[in-house]
Amino acid sequence: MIEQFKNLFKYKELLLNFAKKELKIKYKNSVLGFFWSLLNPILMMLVFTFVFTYAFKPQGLAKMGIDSYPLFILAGLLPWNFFNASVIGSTISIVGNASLIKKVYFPRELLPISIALANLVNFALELLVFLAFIVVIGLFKPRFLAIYKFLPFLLLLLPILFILTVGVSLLVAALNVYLRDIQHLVGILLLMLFYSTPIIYPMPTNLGKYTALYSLNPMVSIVMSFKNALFWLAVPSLHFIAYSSVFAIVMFLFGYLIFIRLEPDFAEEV
Amino acid sequence: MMASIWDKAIDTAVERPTVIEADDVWKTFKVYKERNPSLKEMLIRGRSAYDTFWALKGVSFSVKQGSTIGLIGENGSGKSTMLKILARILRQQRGSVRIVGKVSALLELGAGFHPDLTGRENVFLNGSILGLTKSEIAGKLDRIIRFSELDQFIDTPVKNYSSGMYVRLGFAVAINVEPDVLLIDEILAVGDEAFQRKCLNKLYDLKEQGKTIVVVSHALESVRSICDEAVWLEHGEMKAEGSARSVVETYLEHVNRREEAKSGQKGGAEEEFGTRWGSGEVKITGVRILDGGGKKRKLFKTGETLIVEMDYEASEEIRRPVFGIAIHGRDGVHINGTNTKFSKTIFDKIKGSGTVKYMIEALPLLKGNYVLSTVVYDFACLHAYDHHDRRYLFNVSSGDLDDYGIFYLPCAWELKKKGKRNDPARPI
Repeated sequence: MIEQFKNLFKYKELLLNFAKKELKIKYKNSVLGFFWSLLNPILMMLVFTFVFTYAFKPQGLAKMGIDSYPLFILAGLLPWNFFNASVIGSTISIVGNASLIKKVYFPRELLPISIALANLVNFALELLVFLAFIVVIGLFKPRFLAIYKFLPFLLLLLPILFILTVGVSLLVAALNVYLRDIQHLVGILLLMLFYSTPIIYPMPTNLGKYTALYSLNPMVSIVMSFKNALFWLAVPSLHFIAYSSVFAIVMFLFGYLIFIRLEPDFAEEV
Repeated sequence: MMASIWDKAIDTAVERPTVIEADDVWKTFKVYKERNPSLKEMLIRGRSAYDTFWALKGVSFSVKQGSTIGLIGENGSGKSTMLKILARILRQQRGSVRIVGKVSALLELGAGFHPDLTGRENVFLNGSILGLTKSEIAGKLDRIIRFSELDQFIDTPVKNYSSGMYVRLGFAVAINVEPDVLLIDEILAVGDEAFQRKCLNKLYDLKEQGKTIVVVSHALESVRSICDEAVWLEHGEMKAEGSARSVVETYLEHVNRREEAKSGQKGGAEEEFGTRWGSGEVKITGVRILDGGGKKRKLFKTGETLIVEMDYEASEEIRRPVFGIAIHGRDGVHINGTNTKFSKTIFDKIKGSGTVKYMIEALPLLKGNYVLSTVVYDFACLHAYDHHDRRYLFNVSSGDLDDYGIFYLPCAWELKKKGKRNDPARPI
């Protein structure tokens, strides 16, 4: 497996080219280009803000210290969207490039990884907009101006999120070649995972003995860490970071191994 | 004289390394009776049943650096499969494949082209897919654009290209990839005449640069001229390997012999097509094309003896009949038409049955498909008793000759340089 990984570096230019292509074609035919991808998290944030702040007011929001529900959601939504878009995009990345797979050799993992990279670029740009937004809000609620102190944590959190995402992406991409309904299954599972992760709601404190079960979900640790760094402006919990790092590495190894095992026959099965 | 000894010395002293080695390669494909490509199906019906199809059965060959090798065979013989295994796109079940050096597989033009990207962007993407670095592509960009003749369209999205433009761009990029080993699958069959010539020239350039090339092609002529060696695959097995010329010959002979066998006893004649007319007092009841040894043949080599035997039945006494033959080539070219009268062979009278024999001592025809007509007319050559028009096919292969055209014309060449001592031409 190390061999295969090393082989990847020979193809790093092609990897970047694939990622560039992903980004280019997303925006080629659209007028607003990048702003469309920005619109997704913003719209989601607006809908949830409306639902939970006006339509259906959970009493404790202000009591829990959530002084800006939009920022609260976005801090969790941005990393989630990266994960979600990458996994969904990767699921069909091999079968969607069937003609290419049958005609040219390159390490097939370049496809799901390039999708993750392209989404990473989107994520980064969205973060910039988020930062601009938070600075504006910070003018009214000064506590947010301390964000600069916690940005360095992103250097730790982003790699963990990326490695986890790639691991899952490789797994689903490979499985989907043989079992085509995985792509539908993935959509449903991700939806379930979305609601099982504290994105639109704060970390539940009333789960009792089920807290451990709930926290098994790696996105819980990751999203909470991002929220700590981007919203609560506190040092992310060591437990969360440790758990998510280990999970990410294990997931990556597992996903990559499965991918390598299934890869040689892709050209026949796809 | 000294020059050729020197060349030979160099050839033997410098052993060219083997760059491609296929050793006992076996490959199967799963032929699913009914594909269950979904989790739901798998859980309900279990894994789908399949038959195993052996596409390659123990194929072994090796290629030295700088050599061009052709893989020939019918459709389904396994040639493209072998090429794809060399390209690491498919995986063999048994055996090993070893390639030294940078490999580029040209299995389809415009691999990875995305319709929304411009020609220029696709050149970079496609070039990258084929293994070129960005700087290499940038360096060759002008050459590529010029080769494709798409200068004014290079910045429009490829989805607006015609299929011809698409192909030209694809080939322009592909042909500028200069790997150590090039694998080509039938892409030479694409494009117009001028373009094909450009492509072939570029291939010759690559040969001169010492690149190793593996070609899969149905264009046996190209295989004979470009390839040094060839391998003939049939149903996954290697039937012949060796010099391109001999393997192509062997393959052609096999194909023709099989067609002869299919037509059964009616060997080299009696095809039911072409037209026939005549008053019928004399009927040509059988036509056979034979070689010098009397054997029925369909394929002849340039220079061989060709005999046509015509059985006839004259229902009444016919005085001074004229028997004739005509040979037409492809495109209906009338190559030769002669008869007993022109040849000053007069038959006095015939009644009942008999056989007329026509013989060409040394067939001067070069390779091609030919069709024979056999006729019997009255002495004035105006009234047809029986005219079999273009009914009997036969083929000619040139053997060792490379000449183009219809006929082989024996000739000699001589060079006279101004002012220097003249060397007579040396045969190779």
